[in-house]
Amino acid sequence: MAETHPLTRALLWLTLSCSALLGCGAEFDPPTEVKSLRIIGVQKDKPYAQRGETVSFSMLWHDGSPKVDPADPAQRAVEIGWFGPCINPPYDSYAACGQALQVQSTNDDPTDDLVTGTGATFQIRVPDRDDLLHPNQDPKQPPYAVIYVFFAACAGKLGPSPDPTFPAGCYAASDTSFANPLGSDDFVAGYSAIYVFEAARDYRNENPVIAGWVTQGSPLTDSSLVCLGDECLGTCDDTGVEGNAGPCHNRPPLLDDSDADAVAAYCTANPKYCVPACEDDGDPIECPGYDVHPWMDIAQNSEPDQITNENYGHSYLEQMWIDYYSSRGALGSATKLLNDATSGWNSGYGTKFYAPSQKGAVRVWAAVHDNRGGVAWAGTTIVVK
Amino acid sequence: MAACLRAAGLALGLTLALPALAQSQGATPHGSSGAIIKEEEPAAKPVLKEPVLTGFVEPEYPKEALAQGLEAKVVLKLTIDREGNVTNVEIPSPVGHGFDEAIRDAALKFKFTPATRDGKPFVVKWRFEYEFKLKTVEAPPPPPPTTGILSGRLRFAETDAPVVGSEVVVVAANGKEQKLVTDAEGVWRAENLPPGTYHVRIALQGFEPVDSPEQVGAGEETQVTLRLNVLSTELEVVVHGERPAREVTRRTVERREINRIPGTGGDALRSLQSLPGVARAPGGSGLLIVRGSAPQDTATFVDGSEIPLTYHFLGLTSVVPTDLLDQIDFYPGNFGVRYGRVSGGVVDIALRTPETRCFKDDGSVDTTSKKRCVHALMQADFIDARLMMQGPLPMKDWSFVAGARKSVIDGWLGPVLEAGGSTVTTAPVYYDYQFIAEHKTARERTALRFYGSDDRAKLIINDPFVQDPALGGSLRFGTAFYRAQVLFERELNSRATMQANLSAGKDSIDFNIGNFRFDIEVIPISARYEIGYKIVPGVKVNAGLDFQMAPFDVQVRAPDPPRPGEPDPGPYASRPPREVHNTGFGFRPAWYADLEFDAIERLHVVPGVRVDYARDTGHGDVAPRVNARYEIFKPADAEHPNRRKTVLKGGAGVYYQPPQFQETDEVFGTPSLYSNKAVHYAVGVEQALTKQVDLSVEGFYKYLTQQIARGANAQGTYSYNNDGSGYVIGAETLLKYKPDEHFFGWLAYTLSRSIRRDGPALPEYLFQFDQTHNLTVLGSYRLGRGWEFGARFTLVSGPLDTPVVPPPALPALYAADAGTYAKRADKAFSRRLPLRHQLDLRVDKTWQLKKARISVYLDVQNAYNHPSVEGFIYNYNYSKAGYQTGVPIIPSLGFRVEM
Repeated sequence: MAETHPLTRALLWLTLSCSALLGCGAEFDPPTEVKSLRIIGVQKDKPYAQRGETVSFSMLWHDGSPKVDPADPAQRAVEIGWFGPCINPPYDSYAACGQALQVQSTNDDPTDDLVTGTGATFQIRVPDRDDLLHPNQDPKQPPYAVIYVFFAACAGKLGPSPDPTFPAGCYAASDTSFANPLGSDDFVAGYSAIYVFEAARDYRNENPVIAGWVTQGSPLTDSSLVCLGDECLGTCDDTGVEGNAGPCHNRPPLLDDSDADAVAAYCTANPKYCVPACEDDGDPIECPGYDVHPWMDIAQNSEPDQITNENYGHSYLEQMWIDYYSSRGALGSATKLLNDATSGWNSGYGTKFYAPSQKGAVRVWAAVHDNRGGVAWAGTTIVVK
Repeated sequence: MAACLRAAGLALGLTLALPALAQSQGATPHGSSGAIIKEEEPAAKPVLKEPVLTGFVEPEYPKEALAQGLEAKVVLKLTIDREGNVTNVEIPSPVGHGFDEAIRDAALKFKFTPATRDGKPFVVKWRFEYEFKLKTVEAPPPPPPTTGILSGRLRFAETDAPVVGSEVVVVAANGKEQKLVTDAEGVWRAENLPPGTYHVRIALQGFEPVDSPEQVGAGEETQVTLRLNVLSTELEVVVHGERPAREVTRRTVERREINRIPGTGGDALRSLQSLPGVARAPGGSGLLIVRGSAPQDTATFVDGSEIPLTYHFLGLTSVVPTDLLDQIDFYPGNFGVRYGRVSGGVVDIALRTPETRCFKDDGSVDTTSKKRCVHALMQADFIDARLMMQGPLPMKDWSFVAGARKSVIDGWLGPVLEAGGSTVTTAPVYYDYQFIAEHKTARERTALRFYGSDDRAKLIINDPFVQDPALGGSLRFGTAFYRAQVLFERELNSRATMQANLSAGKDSIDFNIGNFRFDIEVIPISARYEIGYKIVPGVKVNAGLDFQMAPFDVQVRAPDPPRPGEPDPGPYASRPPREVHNTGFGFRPAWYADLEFDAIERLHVVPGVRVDYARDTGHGDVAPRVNARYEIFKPADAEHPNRRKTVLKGGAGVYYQPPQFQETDEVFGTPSLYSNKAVHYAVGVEQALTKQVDLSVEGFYKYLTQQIARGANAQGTYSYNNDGSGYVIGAETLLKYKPDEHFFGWLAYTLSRSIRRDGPALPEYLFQFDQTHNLTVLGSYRLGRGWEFGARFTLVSGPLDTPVVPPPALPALYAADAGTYAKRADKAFSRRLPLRHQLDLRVDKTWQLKKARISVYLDVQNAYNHPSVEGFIYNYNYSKAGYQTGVPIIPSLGFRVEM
């Protein structure tokens, strides 16, 4: 339980929220609160790939919008679309993919033709052609290719883009004329990059490995209580066409909040995952904080930065960090350092959960990243009683 | 005198004759019964007449008696014959001293009418007195006066108390000095001064020296009352933009002004930011943005030796303490050929000569016992603390200054942050140090110096920056430099002067965060040598060389940073870094020469040329420049007391700035780039409005060509080129009230526009540091009794900002590999934030004790707590934005002890 002296709070307010050196600024909802349609992570099975390989993508998302009816969450479905590849755009910038796609559409190579898909997963094949890789501007680094894949999640339906710089827009399901594009609360678009290297070098990057979840020091691996990877994904309607799923829905809740017996049984079985509500609604100063974090094994993570070490003679590790999210309540940190390139493992990578005032189940996620495109996630449920 | 004598003589004579006269008048006898007794009538008596002096002869005053100041009365018996002649003189009681002889000689020449009996003269002895009395001689009228008197009272300005025992030196026009000491009332007096102009000079430790010209007239006394103002520091720091006659622009900020401008904490270099032509730095960072140039376009030197940084962390304070400064030359543009390799402005700091005077307990100069010769200064506030000592060395004409400063903010900020639960619990640490030993005579000066600065921060950022997690983890940040410098100045003869400056040191910049690093180590060696020679009166040539040599070791590991306007490559966290490790030897020699001459009376022209070469680019640059000043009206003098100085000035010149390291690096940049080129034009007027008020108006135009920009190349990447161009146009106004006994202040306003273009076919855009309006009004007033109050108001245009793309476009894309959002930027620097204004206040109180002076000050920045907008901040996906404001009200309390 975190308590702070009033004087310390005042000093903290003075020095942190209004830095004497950096000035003050507007305050926004913390990024940890999932109160809209949010993408929590996009994972690819091969952040480093080779020519001819197929790379599989999956997206963890959650629609935390107040527009979602808890009684009928299926009413507000989410459409997810993918397209790619964008191969070696100018300046290696995703923003220049328009030019790259233009080239790809007019060349004679069908392997780099645009591919689209829908649903929470997507696959793309790396073209297997000799000129795919190009020299690095840094002569010490190996030849490479960068391939971008774009995605969009829309709490409605995808449609024509009102923005010429991005190929898709998002509209309400009832907007038949695509007249009113939806904004950032209901529409998230983004990109992910695949780096391609010569097979001979065999550069690979494994995604982070999460063993389970820990709340208040109590580890859990039970898949009924903790989801890892694809277990956390929502469900998408099956259209019967591979690679083209229908509208998607939030992962079903762990338990029925309105069932007192269910809640009581849960809390008896998992006392650490059952916390009292805080009338100050997640206030990190007034509410007690409960330690939460994914269960990370240093031996399975903290990989050496292979390209850097081989080509420059360093002994760097992967830089890794964790992004935390919750459907309600508050979290102490939005991002925590997990592993530093030079100083190594940070054992204090967890954060604190502050309970909301409203009872019920709260979803908590952690997305673990490394600086070489690797992503993994885990989620759990904390019941507020 | 003669009348007295005659009267005395008559009286004596009458005295002798009275009984006879009384008898001659005859009384009537009476018997006892009162009956009248008729007596037998006696026989008729003779009728006597005394002698009467008719011819008096003044006796000569005896010389002996006169010399001794003696007087005497002499009684004589004169024998007067029947003719009235004195035939004999008897002196019954001689008095001596020559009196007797003198009166005898004179009396023998007297002439009388003889005494008579019944009309018949007879010989008589006659008693005569004479008194010798000294004469009171009236002083002759004095000759007309040929000298005058100069006197006065000396008092402390703040308390009006008399200054006791202080030396006052009265210097005549011919240089002759008269040394006086004030009495218990503070009064001094110099007499017998030939008419003319004299300088009254007072140099009392801890007070501003006085040099007051006074007129002395013949037969007159000139009285003056002089007051001593407390020195704020041990030295006078002059910030000015001109070594006379070689540059166009002169900006002067005096010592007292520097230490009293609110919001600067008494820092001389921060005071530059209150001058016209200097834009307000973003976030109070202390960067110098001069006439629309980027911060890296302005260089800072210490006596000609360039230093890598001007300020400690975040512009808290400058790396060289104000008390060590002799003067600061600030050139906003059109500087002379002595400086090069920059195209913006130049700040050249000159370090001081150590104090060598010894002082008595009462603060007056002590030239004999030499007890208090080493002086100390201690100062502390919430940010840092420092100590400085100076004084003479045992060797003749040698003196020293030693100083050190260390931050204290790290002592309290870290624990506060930790107690508050912050994950950043380490505050930056900095310190600087200086040691100077100097030998100075009338014609030569040799200085040995060692100085340096070190700023360090090391911490683990456990909560990386949400919008770019690459900015997290292990952070090491350090900037350090030191210099060993030898400075030599000498008057070779009546026509030639020589300056030499040799400097060597080390610059070290380390920035490491997570996977990225930026480590630079440079061993800068610089050599300057300049000869000045007066060919004939009014014509002087200066020539010099300015060499920079620097072995370096550079290691950079980072993604290629995009420049404004280029496609966003996404967060650093998702981009693989490049790395370069280069060692080498930089060599940039330069040669320059200029000619100072008076084309016509009062028109001073300085044409010059500078030639630079850069080994790293393999290119040379030739930069011609010319500056001129025409004094339309001279300052007031005795003959023209109401005349005010007017100067018309102007200049034009070419300035080159070589590429930065990353711009020519093989991995990050493009080798073989040419230097940035700028052509400066300036024209202005300096007008003295009154004795205290000056007005300066100057227009400037800078034409920029050959600017290093980035553009797409055939390989589909970006590379640097020299296709950029632009211009800066503006006007500066400075209305200044020069410091007097009570007040100083000024109003500075700059109107400017700074434009760039990245290629001939590309559109123009407002430069990132463009700041249209910049107004500063400040003043400080001495209230007396050691109190001083100051205020500074600034009103500046808001900074430029790059907005996100407008709806319906998404403001950001989710960069999945970083787990954060990549901002989708609209046109670079296309949005102007609101006007910023701020009021800073300062109050000082000084106590002058017998052996020390103590000062306490309260400096309040942003006194009315106006939130000036510094930029925009966004939420995690850039869908919401709000203002980021500058510092809130910040009070700073400091104290200072000088002994």
